[in-house]
Amino acid sequence: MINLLLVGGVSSLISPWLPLLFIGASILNNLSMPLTEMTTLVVGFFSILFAMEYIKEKRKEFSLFLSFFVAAMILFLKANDWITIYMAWEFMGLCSYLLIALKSTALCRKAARRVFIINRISGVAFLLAIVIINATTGSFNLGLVPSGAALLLLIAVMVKSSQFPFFWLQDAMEAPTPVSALLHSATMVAAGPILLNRFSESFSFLTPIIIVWALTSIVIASIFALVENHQKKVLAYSTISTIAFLFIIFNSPYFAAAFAVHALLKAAYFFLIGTYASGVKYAIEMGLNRRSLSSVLSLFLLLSLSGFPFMGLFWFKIGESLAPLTVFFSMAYFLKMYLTTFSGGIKPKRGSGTYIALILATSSIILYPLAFPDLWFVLFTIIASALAFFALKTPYIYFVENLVNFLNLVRLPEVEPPEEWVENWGYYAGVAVRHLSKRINEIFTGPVGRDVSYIALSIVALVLGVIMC
Amino acid sequence: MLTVALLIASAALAFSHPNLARWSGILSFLFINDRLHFEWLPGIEFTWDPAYHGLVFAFSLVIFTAISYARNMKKSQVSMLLLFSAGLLGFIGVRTPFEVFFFLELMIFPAFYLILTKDKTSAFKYFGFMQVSSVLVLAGLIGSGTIASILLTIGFAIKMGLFPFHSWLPDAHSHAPFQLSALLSGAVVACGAYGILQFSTTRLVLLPIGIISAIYGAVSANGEPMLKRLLAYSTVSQMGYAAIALAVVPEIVPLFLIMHALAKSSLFFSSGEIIKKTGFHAIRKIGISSKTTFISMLVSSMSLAGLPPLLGFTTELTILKASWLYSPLAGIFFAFAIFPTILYSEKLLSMFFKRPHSKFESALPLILALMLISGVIPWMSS
Repeated sequence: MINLLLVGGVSSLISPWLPLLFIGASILNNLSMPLTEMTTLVVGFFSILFAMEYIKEKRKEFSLFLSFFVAAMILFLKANDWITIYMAWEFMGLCSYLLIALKSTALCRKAARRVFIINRISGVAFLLAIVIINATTGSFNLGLVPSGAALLLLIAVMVKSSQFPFFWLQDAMEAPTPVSALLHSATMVAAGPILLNRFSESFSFLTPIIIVWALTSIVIASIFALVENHQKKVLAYSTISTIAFLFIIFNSPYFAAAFAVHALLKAAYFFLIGTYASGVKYAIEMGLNRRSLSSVLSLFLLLSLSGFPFMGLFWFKIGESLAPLTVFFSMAYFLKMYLTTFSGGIKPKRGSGTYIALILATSSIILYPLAFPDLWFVLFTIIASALAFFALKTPYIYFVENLVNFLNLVRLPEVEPPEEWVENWGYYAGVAVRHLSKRINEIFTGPVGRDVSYIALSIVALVLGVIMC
Repeated sequence: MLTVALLIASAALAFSHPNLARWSGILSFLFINDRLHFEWLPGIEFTWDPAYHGLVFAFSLVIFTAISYARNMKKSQVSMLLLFSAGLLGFIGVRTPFEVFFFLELMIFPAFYLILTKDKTSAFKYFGFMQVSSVLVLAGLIGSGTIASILLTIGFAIKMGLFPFHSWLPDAHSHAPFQLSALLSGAVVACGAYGILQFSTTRLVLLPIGIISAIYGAVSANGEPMLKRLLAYSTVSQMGYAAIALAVVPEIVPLFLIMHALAKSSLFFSSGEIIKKTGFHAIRKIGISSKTTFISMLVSSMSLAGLPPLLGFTTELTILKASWLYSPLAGIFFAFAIFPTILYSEKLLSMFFKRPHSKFESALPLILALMLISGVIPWMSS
């Protein structure tokens, strides 16, 4: 067995059983760890860790089902025949149902029922698809998918990934935050694009349909996100639109890296919200202080997630002609959420979630070179990683906080930094930004200023997006 | 994380070690769909026929569980239950028309008595439907030709509770004591399907009827507020699957009936206990906390819904493939019939996510339900 593990290969159990079927189960059995599996394990690990702090009752059940889910997702990624893929596919839906329903409120039960039923639509389409595959090719082995089955699989995948007519993800947000971070942002809903990527040759003839469908989802989900005030639901709609973007790039070689970056960043955002919100659902009720680690982190995450130039998903959106649209929309609703959340004087709570978010956010930077394996880019990434390392020290945070004030164009209170910071580069950079922002503040003063700046920033993002294409 | 590692490790072990897989496969010889022939002792030979021995085995398990629940019943009721079981087990081996009629009648009277103690109307309804059924069957067996065969099929279809003839089923199931309703739902309707498999030659008629009653049963179950009536409508739906299987792939029917007997009787035993403990019949009011009952209900309802590692999945997949090969339209319709199962399965599971009135554990339904995991094991037993 160890030999098999080291050499790698396929281990399978296939035997003729029923007269009509030739059922077997086989998995890829090797030590090579694709990026998708690694991301699942990392996010799963931190989710379970965070769940143990966050969840107060039924902790055993939650940890059991979360572990069960991680196992199902790994099975999905490792599976080597259609039956096993379908098994993992249905397990994930079941886990999602159980994890939402465990909270035992009427709202949760309703959401869980809806999620389960919509997932089952996907499951039945999938079942019919694998039956067609079996009827045409005579086995459940992976290979080129017949076109009718490909169409059914596309429907299954779109339903599972909560695309346009089947928006179920925002209901799933009734689940506790660690569950949302693992299932409903990072892994389960992204299983659809992963499946398409794995069988990209079979789906290439459907590319126009996929792009139109994904674009519709992006536009509608973004509009919903703009009018939504529930923080986790905004994140859900943003997930829908990013998954739709993953559908658009399902053929490209850097798909796995884009998936991993999104998973890490989105999970980080959920951990962050789970820590500072502490029971408050709506962004407008928060009134948190902008000069805080949570604020800086959430600004970093929202810029990375929306694909602000040189950050996060930007490196994966850079080659796509449709990217400016997604950048513009996501900048709009994320900035709206950020500005409404951090608009008061309450000091946000810090906990393990904040630090997990910090770790995940900075570790996502390591993945950028996967988009462009170029020497200069690798150098840039090393510098960025060094910056991220310094993020763990306070001066960098001081710099970023000043950058925040600059971006939001508010009047700054004078805060003297501690003496040990003064010799650091972060201090000087912070002072420079502060002076610059003071000058600009003189232009945009008054209550209208912030809105103007908000619109101006969105326009700048749009223009930058157009340029980068 | 440790749990995950253990899960993955055990899965890898199970998949990579052929001997381990074969050992676990020994459990599943009961459900192998080939005839097994072996010499037990010198001179004493034994042939395992899954269509006969497998069904007898599953029914005996259900009967055994029902009897072990009969502790609080009256002596007369227990004796009637045993008489009923005799009819049930006798029916599976029948060959001649007289035997068929005799064992069908033997199933009618004890059940009639048991339902009569609870509710008069539904008891007489059951009695009437069953009498018509057995008379039609007798007529079909004695006569010959297409008309006789159709009469026979209709007779057994009444017994199965297929769509136009289903109205006795929810009444009888909901008013019978739960020990009997488990037997009625797991075994008696299965006898109808088994009879068609053995004697009928015009089975293709059952394809549209099966599709209609599969969808109708599942949708009615979803709209049904009472626990036991919901399970009864679910039986109507599942017998629709059996009818489709009878039309397009009769080889799978015994295995499907075994699956249904185990799953549905497990659900009935669990729900009988739930009703006894909480005192409510309406699902909306019931809230319980019970790990074993939750697992048994989860496994059996997911088996009915066709979740992969369970026996229900393999049978449903076979039926779906056969109906797709028969005609793609039939396949698509059957897929539409599979979907609504989740509606009532979720309703059953929702009882466990409310504020609990009572707390209890019961192991017997769990044993029945866990046997459904043998849906995986036949892959391993070659």
